[in-house]
Amino acid sequence: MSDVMLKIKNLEKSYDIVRALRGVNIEVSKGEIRGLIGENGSGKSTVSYIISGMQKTDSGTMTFMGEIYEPKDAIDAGKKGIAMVVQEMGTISGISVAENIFVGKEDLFTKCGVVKRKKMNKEAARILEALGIRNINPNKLIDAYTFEERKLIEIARAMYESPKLLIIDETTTALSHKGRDVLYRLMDQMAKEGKAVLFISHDLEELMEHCNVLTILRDGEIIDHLTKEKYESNVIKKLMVGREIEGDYYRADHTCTYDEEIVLEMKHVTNDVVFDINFKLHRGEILGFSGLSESGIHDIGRLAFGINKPVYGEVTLPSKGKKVKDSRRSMEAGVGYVSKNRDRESLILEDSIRNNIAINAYDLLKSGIIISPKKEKRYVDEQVNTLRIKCSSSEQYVSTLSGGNKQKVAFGRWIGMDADVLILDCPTRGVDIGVKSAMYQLMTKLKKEGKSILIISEELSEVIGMCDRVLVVRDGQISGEMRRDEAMTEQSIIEYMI
Amino acid sequence: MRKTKKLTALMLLIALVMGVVSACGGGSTETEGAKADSETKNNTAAASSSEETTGEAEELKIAVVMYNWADDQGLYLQQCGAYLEENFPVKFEYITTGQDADEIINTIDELCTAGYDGIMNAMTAGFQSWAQICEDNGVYFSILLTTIDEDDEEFASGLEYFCGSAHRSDWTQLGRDYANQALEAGCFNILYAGFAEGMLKSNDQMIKGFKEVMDTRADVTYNVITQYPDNLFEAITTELAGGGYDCVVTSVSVMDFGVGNIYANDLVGTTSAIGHNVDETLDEAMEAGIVIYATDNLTSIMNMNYVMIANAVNGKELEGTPDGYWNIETPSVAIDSVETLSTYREYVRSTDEDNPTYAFNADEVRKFLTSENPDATFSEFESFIVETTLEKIVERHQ
Amino acid sequence: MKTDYKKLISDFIPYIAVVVVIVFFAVVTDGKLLQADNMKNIINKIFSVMLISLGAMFIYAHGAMDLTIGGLLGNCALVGSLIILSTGSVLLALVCIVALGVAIGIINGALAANFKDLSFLPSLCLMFILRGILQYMGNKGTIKIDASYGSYDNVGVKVLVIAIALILTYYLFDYTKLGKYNRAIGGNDIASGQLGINVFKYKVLAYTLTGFAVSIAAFFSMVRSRSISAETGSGLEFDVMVALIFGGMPLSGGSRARFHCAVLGCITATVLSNGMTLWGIKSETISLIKGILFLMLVYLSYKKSKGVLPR
Repeated sequence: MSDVMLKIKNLEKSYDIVRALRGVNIEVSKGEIRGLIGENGSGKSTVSYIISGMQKTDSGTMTFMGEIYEPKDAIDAGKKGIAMVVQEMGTISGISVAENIFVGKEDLFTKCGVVKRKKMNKEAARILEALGIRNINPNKLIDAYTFEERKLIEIARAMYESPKLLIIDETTTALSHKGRDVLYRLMDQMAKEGKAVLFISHDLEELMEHCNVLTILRDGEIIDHLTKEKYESNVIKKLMVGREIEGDYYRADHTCTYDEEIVLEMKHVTNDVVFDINFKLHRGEILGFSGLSESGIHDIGRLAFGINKPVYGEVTLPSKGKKVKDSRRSMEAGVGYVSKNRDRESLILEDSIRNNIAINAYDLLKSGIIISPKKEKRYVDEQVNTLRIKCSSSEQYVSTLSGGNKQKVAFGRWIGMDADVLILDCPTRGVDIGVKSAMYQLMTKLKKEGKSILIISEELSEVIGMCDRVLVVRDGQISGEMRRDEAMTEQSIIEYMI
Repeated sequence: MRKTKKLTALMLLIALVMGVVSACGGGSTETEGAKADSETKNNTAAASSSEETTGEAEELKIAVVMYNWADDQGLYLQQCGAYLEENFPVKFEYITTGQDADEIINTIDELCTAGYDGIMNAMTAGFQSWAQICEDNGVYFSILLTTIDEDDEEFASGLEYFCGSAHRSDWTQLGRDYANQALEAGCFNILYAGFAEGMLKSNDQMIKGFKEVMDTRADVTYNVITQYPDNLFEAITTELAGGGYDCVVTSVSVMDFGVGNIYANDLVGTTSAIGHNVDETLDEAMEAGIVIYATDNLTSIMNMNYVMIANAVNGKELEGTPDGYWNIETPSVAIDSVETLSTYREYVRSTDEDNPTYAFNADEVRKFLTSENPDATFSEFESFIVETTLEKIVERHQ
Repeated sequence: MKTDYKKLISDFIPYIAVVVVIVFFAVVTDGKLLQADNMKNIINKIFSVMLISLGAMFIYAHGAMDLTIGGLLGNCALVGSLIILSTGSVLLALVCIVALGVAIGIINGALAANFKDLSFLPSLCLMFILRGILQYMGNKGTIKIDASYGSYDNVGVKVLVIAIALILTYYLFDYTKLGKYNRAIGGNDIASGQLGINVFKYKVLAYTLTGFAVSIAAFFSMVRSRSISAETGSGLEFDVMVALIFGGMPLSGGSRARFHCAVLGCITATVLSNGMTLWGIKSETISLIKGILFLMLVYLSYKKSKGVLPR
């Protein structure tokens, strides 16, 4: 029996006139953790959707465990031994954890038409334990749990049928370190047992660390399969993007530079999540906040912009001599904010790029008593060009854009307003390499122009790569500060985080 | 760019439309104030339809306007209408409108434009406005099922196209009658349930009459409750539960509100019902002894109004028709026993759909149509109507 | 460049609807629909709904609705009539009507903006209060004003008023913050707040504008019917809602709320109603047809959230 578990030959898939996959060939062996990486539009998700049975291929063949594999749907694929976990919410609200795990399989616990709840809960507990997922009560309503916990439950559901091939499609983006650890452990376990994992992620470091083989896709084609020895970050990035990434990815310098002038300051800021936060943001500084998801870093961003008010303490803009009272006044004082939940809190999805970018600039775009459409178009086009937002026209709805381009739109409105202070919460989350590098370059440029950036991120390499200073937050308090000119390593930051 | 494209497309389409429509409209009569290029020259479709050859005479198109055609009253009126259509060259159109004056005015406006020969309107809100519209358009109109407010009477008398009304205008006596009937039947504790004050004039007057009589008797007790139609049934239920009443009197729909409540609350035998507006469920209730007295006013309405309008359109009103405002008092038919009920069913309104009866039948209508009988007089008409009591009807149709 | 056909169609439907309705009824009534006489009817009938819709579209744009319209119109007309009866001054009546309309608009707006997602609740309560006042006054008997005031009900003036309203609201809706912000709030109120839009203020302004429109409509309604009863204005809020939906207004508001929704929707709804009466259809059938068309339009303009295609 050969070692090859899954063989894909000449897979083709088109959506209307868009060719998503052009003759893709992949072979996954037993015991392998295969990484898939590519920019948005590269086709990596299409591949996983087809393998998991959620979409049908136009042409091409798949063989699994030596037999022809043509799954009718996801359930069929599940029966054959392939399961998938996705990025979005995959659990059903309103029912219990156990019910979610066994959704569709309730007959296993049904006797005489009655579902034996206790038995279901017990079995659920066993599975969760086996996966190392703690502190989840199978009987509780799933709504009581956080997104991450629900994601773990979803994984438990996928694992229940003991799949031979597990597909993890960009799931880690939304997970904290704890959650990711559970996944990594699971992947290693599957590899050890001679099963296989298909791992899709934007995070190159993560892929390089955990995968045996890395497949790189671009524009629907396989560019290369690299084994571990051949892993080199820059090479991979180049293959993904198809061109040299001009300049450096992160900042080239290793010096900590900023002006004396303080643009944003927090004194003894306290609310129900954070306690006694004190810091100063200087002109021309990129200040990073790092920490676990629940540590309070995101709240700091909201407090800094004025969306939330502190129970105690104050937030000020010393260079302007103003107190931060609410988002509108911060905006008027030249502060900008991009939220972590970009779809829910920053963008109006069902509206044009034009309206999304121009929305806070109307005072600038007036011509007498009318908001001039000409001025508006010029303003918006400028941002679209500067940031290279990929779209067919500025009338396009934001909902049709990729994550990276959406982020550019969110940025665009602050760049256009020439904001002095930018508060960015997870700015490169779900954004592919090409756009990421463009953003880092933009941030570097802004810093040079004397703008200040407060960046909140759970991605350590980003924080290390871009910030002059890093403040680490743990349990709502600042637990440590590090400077760029001293040796900043992931390890040292993590020590402060947990 | 897209906006101008859309606009031009729209303009083109409208121009196209106008062209098509002009081609469709045919005929000779030019309308007043026709716009230069876009108005269609058009003949009134009304004129052409009145020249239909359904009978020797021109067929009249009459619009009948009311708030609800689906209830018992509405259905009965439509039935009368169908009867008239069978016997005379007339076509009725039943129009529904709300109680809002604005809506009524707009509807009447539309009906006038639509080219009806006559309008029978049961909705009097905004009378002066819509009456004026009918006047300006030369459309004859009469009032159906009600009378207009006193302060509008003077205005109405100045109108040429007003064809009067034929309805009971004073309901106080009916209220007194109800009280007397209840007392005669030996009731001691009587509940009167009516619509909210100010809603219907008839309702208010009946309550007044009722109280007048009841107040003369110290030995009986009574209570009056008034509510909006939607809440009335429940209000009665609540009241009956606590009251120990032996009789329920209602201004409107005695079968629904009075008898309905008695059945629902199991008061058969303890409480009886008196009131206005009867329907086919009356028979069972009367035989069971629940209803001891009921009245009805629907006997001749459509027919009377038809006469009024037909004569006016014909150009010859009944001789002696008063110049100003007039209203013919129509009596109520009273049903006080099972015998009277069977007379009522035989002569006024039978429950047999295949053999309907009409208190005011086609021959009698013919007598007052000036097109058939040029010498008919108004006073003859008036006395005929005023004497439409049960006995008189039997006499006439024996 | 692939054209978004679905969006194109949903944009064009209100235009198509207007044309279809006009053509259909013009043909079916042998052109009577377009006679000067009937044009007058249409203008009178469309006046209130159009005027108020032009104001209410700002409210619908931010995803709410206004249920107080009918009750407010009735009360304004009531106040106006009482003033005319006691002072005989039409000017004073007009001033008071407008003041009342604007005042209630502000109160209504403030309450609705405070209740956020449940904004229809205070609107509903206010509606009951307004209706209650009318019923209470109506019970005392119908209030009437003299026929001479009917001269204010002038078709030419009404056309002028509508024209001004169209220009004014077009400007406000497409070229000022009022319109753009209300649509932004409808699209995403959280983001709007974060972007510094004073959500409360703009919502209140939308309701205030509507209150003003209602007051003007009330004035003309008052001089046209010259009698106030408990039923005055009843159901008007739904006429406005139906008209806007006929014009393609999404109930959730946002960027798809367009100026043409109010204009085209009112024309379609009014011509439909007027045409059917002219044609001689039974009233029950009219309601049925209206209902079916309404459902169809809601279905057509309702945009299900697009599934995210794998990338």
